[in-house]
Amino acid sequence: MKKLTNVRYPALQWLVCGAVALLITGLTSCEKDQGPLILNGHGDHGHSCDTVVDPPAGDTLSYNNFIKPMLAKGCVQGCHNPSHPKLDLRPPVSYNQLVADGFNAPYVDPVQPESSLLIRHLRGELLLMPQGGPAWSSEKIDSVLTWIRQGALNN
Amino acid sequence: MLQTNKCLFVGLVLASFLPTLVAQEDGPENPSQESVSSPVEFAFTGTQLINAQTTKIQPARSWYFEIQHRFGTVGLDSSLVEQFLGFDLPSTIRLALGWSFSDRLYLELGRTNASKTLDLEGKYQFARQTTNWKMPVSMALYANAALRTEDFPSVPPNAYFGDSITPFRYKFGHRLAYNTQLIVSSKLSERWTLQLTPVFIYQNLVPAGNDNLTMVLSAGGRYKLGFSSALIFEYARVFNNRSAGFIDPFSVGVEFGTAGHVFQLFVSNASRILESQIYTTRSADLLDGHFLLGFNIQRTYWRK
Repeated sequence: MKKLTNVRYPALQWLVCGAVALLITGLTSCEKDQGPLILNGHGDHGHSCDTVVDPPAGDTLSYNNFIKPMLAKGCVQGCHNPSHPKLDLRPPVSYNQLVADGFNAPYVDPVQPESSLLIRHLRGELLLMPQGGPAWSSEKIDSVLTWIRQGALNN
Repeated sequence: MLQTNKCLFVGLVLASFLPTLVAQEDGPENPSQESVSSPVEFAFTGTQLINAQTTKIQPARSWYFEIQHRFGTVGLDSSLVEQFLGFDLPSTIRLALGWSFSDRLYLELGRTNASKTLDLEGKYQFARQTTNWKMPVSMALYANAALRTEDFPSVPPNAYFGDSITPFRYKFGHRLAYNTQLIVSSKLSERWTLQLTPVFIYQNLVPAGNDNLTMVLSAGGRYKLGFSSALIFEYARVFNNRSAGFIDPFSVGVEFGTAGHVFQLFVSNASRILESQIYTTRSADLLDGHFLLGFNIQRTYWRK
């Protein structure tokens, strides 16, 4: 072992020093930024003319019957399809993308439904979706919120 | 100032490895003299164990080319057939070209399609396990700097940094993420090799409320099945920045080695490839039946 470190690899000490310097420099010269944090973002985004599908009161809101078609109609064309680098919302894959596979997944948080990325994007607290508007009506967003509150199930 | 710092950082990465380029000797140990404490060989076949790094360094003065591919995540439902095991879904791919300066050091340049990320990595094996167990483990230091080249999304005017005071704007530094690892492996028998790796990830920009430093402990191993095949597995525990419902990555697969090639086929729940992306995003829920298929191929060209 002595031979290995002292004779064959005389540069070991240099390297250890270099690696430590690298680690220290790397950590101290870095940015320590967090964000973006969107503040005062709760604006009235108006009402769109989209048809609102009312879920049956009292029942568990079905992803496949209500949420999936809304995403398919409002998000896939032109944007959230396989050519989008982050989130593909075509009906066969939208659920997996929202909960696991999307770039920033999970987009839904049943523990804190109001903080779900999906909700914050739809409300315009983050970059407003659909991008460029018009925003979804509050009734539509509320039905998405209800679905998340009920556990964001693939039902 | 920021750019100067980054240049300094990259310079230090290179400088810290420079001495070995001139100082190291290469070539196998002399068996007649070193038979008592010769280094353990064939602990791993490739420089990667699925997602984690191994202590393996390819032979001195060899080039190698690496292809890492992760298909889309599918569940144990109709998506399995509809998406043809995930082949039809968006994939994550990384291509990399590496050069071994010696039997202990390599540098590698890679590109992955997740956030159009370029990365430079280096690994130095500073301790080598010996057959007489005087040195029971092999150890390597690994560093990776990743540069996101994808454009940042536009931010609304009411966006602020985490302090809620400074107006938010993207900077070049926000594109960078680093990860440093200390890899410790031990070949316990002819068949078993295990390794433990503390991973430190530093992202210059994280979502508000998260730490810039993410700490992970990765454990994995290899069980040799035959002359050229082995079972490989790994699990990583992420200690902080665990968002609601965070799931740790777990992978299991098989490995085939031929002269110059390493093929690894596996089932995993982590759809990213770079450590700074795997351990900072949620993996799919294996217990819920969600998984993905992936493969790594490494081709080495060496000089005699």
